[in-house]
Amino acid sequence: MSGIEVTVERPSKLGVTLACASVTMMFAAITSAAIFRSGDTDWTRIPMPPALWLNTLVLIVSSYAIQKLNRTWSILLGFVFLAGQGYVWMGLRASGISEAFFYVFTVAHAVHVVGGLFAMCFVRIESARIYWHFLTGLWMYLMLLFWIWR
Amino acid sequence: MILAVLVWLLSIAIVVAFAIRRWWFPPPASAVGAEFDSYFGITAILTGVIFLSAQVALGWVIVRYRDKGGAAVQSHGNDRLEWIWTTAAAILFIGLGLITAGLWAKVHIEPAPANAMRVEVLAKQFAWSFRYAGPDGRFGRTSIRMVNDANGNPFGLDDTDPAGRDDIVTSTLRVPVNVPVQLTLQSRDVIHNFFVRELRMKQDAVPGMRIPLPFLANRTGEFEIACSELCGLGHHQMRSKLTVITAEAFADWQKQMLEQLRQQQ
Amino acid sequence: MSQVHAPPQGFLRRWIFSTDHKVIGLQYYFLALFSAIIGMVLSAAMRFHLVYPDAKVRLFGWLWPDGAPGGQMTPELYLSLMTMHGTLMVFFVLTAAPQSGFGNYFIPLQISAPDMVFPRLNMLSFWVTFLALVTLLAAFFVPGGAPLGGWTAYPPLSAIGEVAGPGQGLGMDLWILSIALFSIASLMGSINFLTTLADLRAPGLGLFDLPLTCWGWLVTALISLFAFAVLLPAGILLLLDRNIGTSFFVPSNLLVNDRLLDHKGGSPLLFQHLFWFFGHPEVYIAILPGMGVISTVLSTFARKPVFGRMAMIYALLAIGFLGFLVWGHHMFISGMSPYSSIAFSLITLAVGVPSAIKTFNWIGTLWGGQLRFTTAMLFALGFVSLFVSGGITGIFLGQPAIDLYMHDTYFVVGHFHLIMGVAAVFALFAATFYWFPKMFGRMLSEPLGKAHFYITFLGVYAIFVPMHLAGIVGNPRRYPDFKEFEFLASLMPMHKFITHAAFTTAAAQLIFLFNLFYSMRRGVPAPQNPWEASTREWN
Repeated sequence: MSGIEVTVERPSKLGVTLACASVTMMFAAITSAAIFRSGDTDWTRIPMPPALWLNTLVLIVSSYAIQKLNRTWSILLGFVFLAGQGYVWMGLRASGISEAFFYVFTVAHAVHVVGGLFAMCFVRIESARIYWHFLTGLWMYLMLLFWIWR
Repeated sequence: MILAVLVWLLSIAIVVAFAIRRWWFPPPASAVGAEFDSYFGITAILTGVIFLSAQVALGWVIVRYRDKGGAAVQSHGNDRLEWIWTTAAAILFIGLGLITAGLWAKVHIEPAPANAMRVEVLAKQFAWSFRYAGPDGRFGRTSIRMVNDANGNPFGLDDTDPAGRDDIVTSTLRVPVNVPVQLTLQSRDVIHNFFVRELRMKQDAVPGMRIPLPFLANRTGEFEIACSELCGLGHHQMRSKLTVITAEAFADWQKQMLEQLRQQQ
Repeated sequence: MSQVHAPPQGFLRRWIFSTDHKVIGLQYYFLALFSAIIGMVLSAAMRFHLVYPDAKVRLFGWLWPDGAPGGQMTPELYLSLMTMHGTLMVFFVLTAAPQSGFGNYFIPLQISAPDMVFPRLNMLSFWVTFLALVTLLAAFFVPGGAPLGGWTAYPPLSAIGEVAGPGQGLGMDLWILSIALFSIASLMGSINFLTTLADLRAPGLGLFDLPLTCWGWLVTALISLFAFAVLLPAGILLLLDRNIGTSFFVPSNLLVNDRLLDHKGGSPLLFQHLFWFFGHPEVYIAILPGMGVISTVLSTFARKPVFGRMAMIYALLAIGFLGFLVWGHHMFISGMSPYSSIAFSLITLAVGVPSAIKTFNWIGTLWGGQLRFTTAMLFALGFVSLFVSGGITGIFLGQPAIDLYMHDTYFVVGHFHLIMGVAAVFALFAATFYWFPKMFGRMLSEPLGKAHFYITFLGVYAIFVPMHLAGIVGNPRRYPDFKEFEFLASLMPMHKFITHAAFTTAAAQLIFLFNLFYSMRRGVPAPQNPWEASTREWN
């Protein structure tokens, strides 16, 4: 293995930023698909179980933890967030297109959270931090979207 | 050197192959079709000139600047030239687009005249069906659950609806000449496409959508309808016929079809 | 940083699970070569079937016992060959070779970097791409065979399972999975490319000092980063529609093969929007790296710097940017709003402007030069000719009023094969002949190369120009045979001509393959800088 990855800090930050840009594009695509479909007659309100607010709080605290360079707490809270999302998914019944989009948005986000947990174990913390904050921001954007469509 | 000659010969051959019109559109059967042909002609001439001059220039630099052991003329570019050809290309290409946008608007944006004869077109794997409203001018109610292809009911006409009693359902399209027609395309399964060469007309039939398609045929004749959107393993066999006949012949035909319907009921 | 690491020892680490950019570049190159051979064989089988639809070919029966019983090719087999041909060529040849293949090999060399910035990510990208290829080819061997919905995979045909035809079952799932894997690999690759180009440039080498090859790879990586990020969710939504009964794309009340499906409310057009938002930029992913290569090759063999370098860079950026705003021109007749068609049309025609700038500047580069006609140069000149011929017909198709006849005819097939297929492949040939001495330390045979060039150059014109004429007559594409329609009968002589030209051209590729593999071991040893080029990889 070459030694570049550990000797250069800037590229690793840029790489993570580019990854965030690409993930943003992916969620923009799903959002525009949802907007497109929300014009159809079978569109109903998007579900917004109260547990989501608690999960939001967990994610924000986790972001705060990594800002303080506390890897352990951040990872732990990441797992709590995923467990909370699991609880939300179990409680929902997939009945129509709005729920389907809810699942797509939240599962896609969760998959990236899992990726972030891996990243925190293997990647420099300064870079992992960028990604983790990004995921928190992305989650708040999703909450805003759900809140508008609730 | 050989390459230059090849490029020149090929370009001339290509221009000739288009210009002789040996492989060309069938004669149009509508005013829109004739207009299409003239716009196609304008585009063909314009692009033909660009095509020829670019290929000739390419051949010319190949001949003129082949290695003769001298030194190359060093140049990094010329900003004025860049501006000139950028502007020229922009005016040419976008101007062309603006000119033909009018024809597009005529076909797809202008609504059909109020007196247009309405025909519903139903596409399915791998056949076309057509429905006329009949003398009452109203289409009967349909339901997907009533569909019975074997009994000649591809639309799923609901026989409890009196408006549907005189609906004529056929497997080929028959229209009177010089009468505006408004087709409504729909599909029962996957995406199909309604294409009639002589009308210069092509439109997807998308399940879940009802897509209007107006036209006016100005000469009689029989034209093939071809599916032009991949719809499955029978795509290439999804053929029907458009028959344009005189108004009198059409009236006779309609009378005959209604008589048949009455006998069945 | 400046110290180049010692090559890893052992066959596995050195040639299979290598993190070395040069090895990975070669891996991509040979993956693309393998895919191109398969793709070409498929197209030969298709061309043969089109003109001899009733022929029984023992080879077909042996290869596809279900699809060609007794050697008689069925329409569903034809359509699945077509789908696989398109998918292999677009993704595994035209995306993999110019960008990931040559890009990986030469970006670090041209910017004097020791390697790509994330070598392990690089290795992962290649192996995910490899897995995607295996997944795609596996579709041939599952019950029902490969999918038949074309590389565009429009729902509902692609979304409702086997009821839509054989191959639309497991084969279609594998297809989507393969594309999803490919998207992930491309996203990882583009992050790697962009970061390397941004951060590992030699000191003093500014962004705008980069050779145009690097600019081609840079803009392509930018496009990939955003385009594949849209294809991936589109594929996933399609998988969900197929497998867990959601209705993103499948509308209510579909009656397929006398079966009423219980999806409700989905929109087939939504998929087309998502697909083409990726699909149009994909065209530029295939051609932009080639444009970079052509600029370099023309300038080297004209012994002149590139004419209008900055204009070339701006043109690349403009094409990359405009490429994201024109997806609707694939959908003029799809039933979307006719007003939006006009907007899409004008932006599409605007793409012609940077394309024209590139052509003018290429001719400007040649102007006043001392041209040396090596094989690489011949392919580069051939590229310019093909780029003009294939690009100019885009002016027809970009106008909705004309597209409403031309859409999905052979005119379109001719157009995109010339510009995106053959022109991009010519750039690959030019790159191969140009960089082979660097890659393998030996020279490719010039006489063989020239023979290969002239036959291929004439051959591709003979194949694809008549297709435009067939399109004018109205010949729809994606037809397994032309027996049903009266107006197609008159085109049979032309199709026979095209098929013969295709077989000749395909045979000429054997010259190339021989040249490649022979010269790799037995070619004349190459000097350090055989073309007297000025970019860093030669010094």
